[in-house]
Amino acid sequence: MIRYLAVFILVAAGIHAASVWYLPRLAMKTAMERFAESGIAANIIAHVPPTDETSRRVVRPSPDLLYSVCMLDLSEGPVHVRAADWGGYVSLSLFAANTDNIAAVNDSRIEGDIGLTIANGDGADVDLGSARGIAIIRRLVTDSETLARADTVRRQGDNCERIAP
Amino acid sequence: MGTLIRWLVTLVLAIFTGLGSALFMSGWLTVNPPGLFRTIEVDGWTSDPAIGSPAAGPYTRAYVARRGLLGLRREEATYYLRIEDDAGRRLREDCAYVLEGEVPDARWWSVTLYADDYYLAQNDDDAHSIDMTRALIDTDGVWRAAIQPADPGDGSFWISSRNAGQFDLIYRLYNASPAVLETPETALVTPRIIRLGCLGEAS
Repeated sequence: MIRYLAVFILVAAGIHAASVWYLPRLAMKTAMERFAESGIAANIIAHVPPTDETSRRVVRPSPDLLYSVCMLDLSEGPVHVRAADWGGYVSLSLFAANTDNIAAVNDSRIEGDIGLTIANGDGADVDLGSARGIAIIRRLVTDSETLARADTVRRQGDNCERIAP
Repeated sequence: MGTLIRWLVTLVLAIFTGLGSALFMSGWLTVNPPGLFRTIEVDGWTSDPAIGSPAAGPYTRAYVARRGLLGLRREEATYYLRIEDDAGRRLREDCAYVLEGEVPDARWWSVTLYADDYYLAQNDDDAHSIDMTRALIDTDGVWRAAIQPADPGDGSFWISSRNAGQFDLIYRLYNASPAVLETPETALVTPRIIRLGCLGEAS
């Protein structure tokens, strides 16, 4: 009986720890697959339509923010992401494969466009700590006028591309 | 044969127990786990300063992945969750509420209503949130919004709960002041949620 109990505890604890470790990665993987299914390729900036009740790729989206995303694949080298200045709130945030927000920079800390070079390791502005991840650009837009202006600026100025070796 | 069955039962039970307890304690089941996302509690609004941070514990990280994936670290944004009204009753689509509060010390704030699946409620009312740029501050220094399934039609700011079921609210604060970040219990002003009535209730 003791043997059964010992094995039960060991296996249950192992499955528990592995599951808790894996769940964030699963959520991130699912979100990235949903982006990919909608035609968003790695290391290319994608401009997400304004958030509404049909926005169901990632839980709890804000209807007051306009999102652009870049699916980061750093396996072949660093990637540079640029968020164009537009005179209102804009931030560039980087998420590792385990969901950690490794970096977040907004317009109040940087004059002009926000640009970051990201690598899986040293030698860049940010070490993501994983080969895959997500870069998100957020802009505060709460009316149609600012939405139109932000949309124009992001399509002209935002960028995500692998740095040539 | 009997021994083999006993080992199989033991392993199956262990796998279910390990997986089930992980899902529960990480907030991946509908039942809210005790303790998670409650490191900070201010007037019924709860949060966890470790959201988004590499310093987050494994359960917090798993919880946020399910219920607030891609949340920003606290220096950029803080998130407060509310699931009950001021009297401690679960927020429901079929009730009418007044949401009111003072202006917090942050660069930008908003309160957004999410349905019981953690997405915006499936309605086309275009009334999911209130934020700093749209809230009207009354002469008493308080902003107000009506939360209910239909537009009250009296000119008040409306947040629609239509098709939201048992909903919750997220209070976002972007670039909150150091005082709000360090001592939210005293420095953060939080909105109040007053239930006015529910469908089927005697008035």
